[in-house]
Amino acid sequence: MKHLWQRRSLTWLGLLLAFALVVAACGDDDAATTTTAAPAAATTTTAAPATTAAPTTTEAAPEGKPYGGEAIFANDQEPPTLNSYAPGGDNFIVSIVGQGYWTGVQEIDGFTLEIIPEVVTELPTVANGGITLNADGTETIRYTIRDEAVWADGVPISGDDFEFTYNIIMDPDLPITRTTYEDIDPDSIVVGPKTFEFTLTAPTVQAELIFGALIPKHDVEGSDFINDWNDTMWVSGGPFMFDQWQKGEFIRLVRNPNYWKTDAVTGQQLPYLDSVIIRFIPETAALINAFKAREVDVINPPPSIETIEDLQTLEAEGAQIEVLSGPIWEHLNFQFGDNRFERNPGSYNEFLEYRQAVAHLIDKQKIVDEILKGQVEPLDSYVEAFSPTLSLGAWAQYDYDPDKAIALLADLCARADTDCDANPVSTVFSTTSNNDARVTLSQLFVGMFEAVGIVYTNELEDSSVFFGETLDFGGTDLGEFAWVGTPGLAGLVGIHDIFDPEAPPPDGQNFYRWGTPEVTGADPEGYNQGASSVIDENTARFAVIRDAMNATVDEVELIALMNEAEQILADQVVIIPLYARLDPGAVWADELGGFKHNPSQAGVTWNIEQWYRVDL
Amino acid sequence: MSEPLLQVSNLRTFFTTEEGIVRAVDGLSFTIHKGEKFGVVGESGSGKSVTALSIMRLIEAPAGEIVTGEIHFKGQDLLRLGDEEMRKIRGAQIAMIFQDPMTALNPVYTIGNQLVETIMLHQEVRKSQAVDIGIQALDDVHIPNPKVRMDDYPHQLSGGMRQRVMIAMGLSCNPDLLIADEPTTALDVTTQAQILHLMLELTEERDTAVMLITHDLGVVAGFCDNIQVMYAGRLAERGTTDFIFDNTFHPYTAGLLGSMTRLDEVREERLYSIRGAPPSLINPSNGCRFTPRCDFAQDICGSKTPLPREFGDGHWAACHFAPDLDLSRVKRAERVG
Amino acid sequence: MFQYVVRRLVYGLITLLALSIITFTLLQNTGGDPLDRIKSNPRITQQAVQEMAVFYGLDQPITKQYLTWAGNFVQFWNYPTAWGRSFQGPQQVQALVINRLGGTARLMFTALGLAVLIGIPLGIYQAIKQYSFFDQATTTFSFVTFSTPIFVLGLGLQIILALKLEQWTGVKFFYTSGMNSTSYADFSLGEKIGDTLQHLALPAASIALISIAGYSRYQRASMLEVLHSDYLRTAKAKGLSQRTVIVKHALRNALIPVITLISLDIAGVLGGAVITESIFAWPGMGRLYIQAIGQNDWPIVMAVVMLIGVMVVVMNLFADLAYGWLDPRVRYD
Repeated sequence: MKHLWQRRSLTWLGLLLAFALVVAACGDDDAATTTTAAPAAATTTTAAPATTAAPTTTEAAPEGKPYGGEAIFANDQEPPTLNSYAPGGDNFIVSIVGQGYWTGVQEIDGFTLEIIPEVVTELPTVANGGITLNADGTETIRYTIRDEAVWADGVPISGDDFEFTYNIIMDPDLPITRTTYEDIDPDSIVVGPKTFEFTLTAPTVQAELIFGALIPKHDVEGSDFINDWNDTMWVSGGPFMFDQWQKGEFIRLVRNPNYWKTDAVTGQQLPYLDSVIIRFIPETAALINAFKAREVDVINPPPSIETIEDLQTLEAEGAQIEVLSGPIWEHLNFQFGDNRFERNPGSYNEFLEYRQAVAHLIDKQKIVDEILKGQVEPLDSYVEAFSPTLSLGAWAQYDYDPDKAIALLADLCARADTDCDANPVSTVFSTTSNNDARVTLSQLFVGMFEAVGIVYTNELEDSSVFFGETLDFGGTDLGEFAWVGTPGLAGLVGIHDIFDPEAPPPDGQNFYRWGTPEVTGADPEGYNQGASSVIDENTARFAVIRDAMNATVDEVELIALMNEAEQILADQVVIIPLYARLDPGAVWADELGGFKHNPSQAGVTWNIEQWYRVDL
Repeated sequence: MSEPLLQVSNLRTFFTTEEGIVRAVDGLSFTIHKGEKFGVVGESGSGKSVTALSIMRLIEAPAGEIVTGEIHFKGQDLLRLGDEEMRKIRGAQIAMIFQDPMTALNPVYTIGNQLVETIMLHQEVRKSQAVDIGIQALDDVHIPNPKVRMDDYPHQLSGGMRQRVMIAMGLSCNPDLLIADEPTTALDVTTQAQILHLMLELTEERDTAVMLITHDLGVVAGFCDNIQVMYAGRLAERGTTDFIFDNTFHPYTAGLLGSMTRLDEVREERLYSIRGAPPSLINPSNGCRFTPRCDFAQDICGSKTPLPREFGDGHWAACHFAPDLDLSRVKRAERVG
Repeated sequence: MFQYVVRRLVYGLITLLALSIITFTLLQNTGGDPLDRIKSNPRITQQAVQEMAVFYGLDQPITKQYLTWAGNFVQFWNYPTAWGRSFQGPQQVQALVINRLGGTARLMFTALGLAVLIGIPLGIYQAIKQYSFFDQATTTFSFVTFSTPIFVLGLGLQIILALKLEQWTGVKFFYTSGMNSTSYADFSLGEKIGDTLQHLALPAASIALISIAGYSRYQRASMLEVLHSDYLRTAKAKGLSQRTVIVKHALRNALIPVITLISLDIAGVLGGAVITESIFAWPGMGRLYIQAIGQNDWPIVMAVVMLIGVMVVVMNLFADLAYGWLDPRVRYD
């Protein structure tokens, strides 16, 4: 416990200092840079539950579940707005709360992590005729809305609501992210009472993610869209209705009596609960205490191993703790830009032998055992972290083998263009200093690197610096941080965008500068630097693959492209995936049933309509 | 001489400090008679003020404690009185005024408030009468516009004026004894004379006894009937003012006299100064405590404590060699008057 | 006197103007861009970011941004748009800030009230009983609480009095967090009062305990100085009773320095208590403020800083006037 206090105190101190000195984007020590934040209810096609699912929920008895009662879910964040389309609406907690009252085309099944239809009868595919690939290279998509789908006030959900949603998003006066929607040809839209059809000018797998949260035309039309829907919500299409937001304290949702869904197993009308409270408790320790005191029923605390072990002691008292490995994956990465020489003048990053040697000298199993107490397996690929069934495990070729690393280093030094006597092989490792796991990692590395004769140095930085200038300007030699992956094909396409050799910062996300061209004229000056140290046939091929992935909706073709991309990244050792972070969800199972943790973007409230009081 | 008013016998007042026990007053006896002007003279730390506070029983416990002794005032032993009875004596029968008039008055209350408070405490009068008495008291100490001054705060008055207020306050209840602890030290020379003159005048009128504590023999010279010279918590010499000045028996008294400056005198030789500094009163050595600083000290002085001896007519001195020393080279020429 | 107040208020306005410029400049130069979070999302196009910047007025030159902000800010009667929009979501800053006033005031004034009502008498009593067992024991206690980080103190209280106490006794005495139960609106008056106290007790006690330690130490020192003063000896020499000496002559003088301390603490009330509010999930200003700092959400930071600034100016003036009322030596010119 004391340990935890210390760490948190440092965070506060950091925040206070930040006021005086530098306020950077990533102040939180657990901050991971987000790759793919899809609008509203997100994503995925086919993906099995992540690697280590702890005990799964007991299936509820089919003879019927009790109605009534209230559940309290507590979270450390509070929504900055309730409107997912407004600035700030892409915040994770906005959709966590929104699961209660939004409805849209798709949702994510927490058991299978598959994307399933919600308000439409089936997800459009080429096979079922929902998607038509036209001769002119365009793609027509057709939704058929369920007959029974109605808004909470009884008004049927119709094609007009789809069109209205589209019009809001495309309103040039509103600051809304329009990616993918911009590809819809406005003249192609066909609206029916229970149908909505449109044509995309270019086929993209991203289309599976759009229209995740419909806007009810009859309620929203004529309102001030950006100003009127921050503190309250339009008429619900989901199991609950927005009732009250006590700022800084909680949001209350109450039963939608007109919800159109029934329990597939029991046939009962959903939802079971009368109301749901989402409470906001910013301090993790306090969140845990509130759970222990049974003041809240469900929590999804930040994934520290101490927290998980602490919570697991409550299982004897009736709590159920599900520890899934989440979509956040930690990875080592080599910097290929010029600025790495400021960190380590003797950097050998451009040599494949060196990178392969690093891949062999790292004992991932030991890292996982030390940092995560062996609760997960180390990653053999980043794809494993969020779409394991699609993973090649391409890094399995680099087993822990110091001797092999030594041999590779010998090969490196034998090269004509290296001189290891004048410039001994050295590594400078940088990551955030205010994250316990990463500090532990840096300490483990000392022994591993020195065992193969590499001159090794740790240069850790506060997250505000690391995720600021250091990452932006490529100021690492060997770096370590995390990305959040989105399950499903669209997410996989998105994750490969960050290695796009054509997209160096500031416009792109290729922080590694693998294969990137020279950057000039950027502001601030630090972005400007020469071309990548590695530009070869692999980077060229990767750029081609990346473009092809973004231009197809053919699943077979996509998977083939992704496999090739994964293989290139592994063979070239651009990065070394380490492990996926744990994502714990805790519930008092003796009070609340129907809970199933979901580590994807859908979050713990994904099946909130299925929650019921066991104690009624 | 008239009847005794205050008889102090074998008073010992000690203070406990981290370094040890400070024997601030160590076996002191003296008597003040009704209406007598009694001077107590000595350097800082000689026990003058502690003696006065002991009489008032204002020694702060637990650090300070009156260890032994008796203090008979008008026949009753003050040290045996209860707190309540002692409070009735303080301010009413024994009043005290302090060295620094700048800090001795409470800054947040008016002169009138503090004056009336004292009067009403000890006299059975209504508020309006108390105010009248207060105005009269201010008038008696020659404060102009006493009625207006009643509403003034201490900081609005000069040092001399404030000391007049203190005197007015002290005498407002017609005490039998006024203890004045260095009443003029903080004042400039002209004001000093005025204040002393005023005190003398008022106490003569009322036949009030005064215990005037000072380090300055010049001050007592024109004021006191009797002088008691103290050194390191003990008596050095006591007698009538004339006798002390004329027939000094104790080397310390002589030293004090020799170091006096006088405005009416032009001297060729350097002013005398007593060498060294007053001794620590923690675990003092045996013998005469003045020994280390005494020009006349001999072996006996360091080993045997000289008891005060009477040399006739109330003249006491605590020196092994009194009255045989020739102190003329230390002492000054005759007192002028 | 009137002139003095007017002059002080004018100085106050100048101070606030300077404060706003300095704070604004600092916030602009601390490296962060309010749209950083949005920009780091690769699915948001440059064009969308640009639209967002226009929406928030961030495309304007810095001086213009300041002048627009300042011009709107002083027209605080234009609720709720006067203080601009939050960059985290498009909520109106004025509404967000005013929303926190109730919770902040409830927590901070309770804590301050407890601290003053307990700390001041405690310090006085400690001084009167200097070196007694009571003095030594409470002084030790003060040092322990004062040197305990509030994070440890708050979580300690939470674990012992909210969590463990309920486990041991089976009775709920205090809640771990929150300002009221979520079903508060349905409660009877009695239940409402009980519920409020059960939630308020621990966070208020966390802040108060540390303040009590501070106030009592300060008051003790101030009282001791007075107790050893010449005028107190005079009062005793006059034959006044111990009670009169303490109550009339010592107290008023000993309270004067503490007034400044209390006034400035009142001024700080609006800033809330960042750590305590987080631990006890209290809807206070501190949380709003610290989160805004982390997100480069300067309209909120500016609003809170300016409110605190106004309070400091007002309470400083109040302290000086109170000083003059308590201490006749102070004059206004």
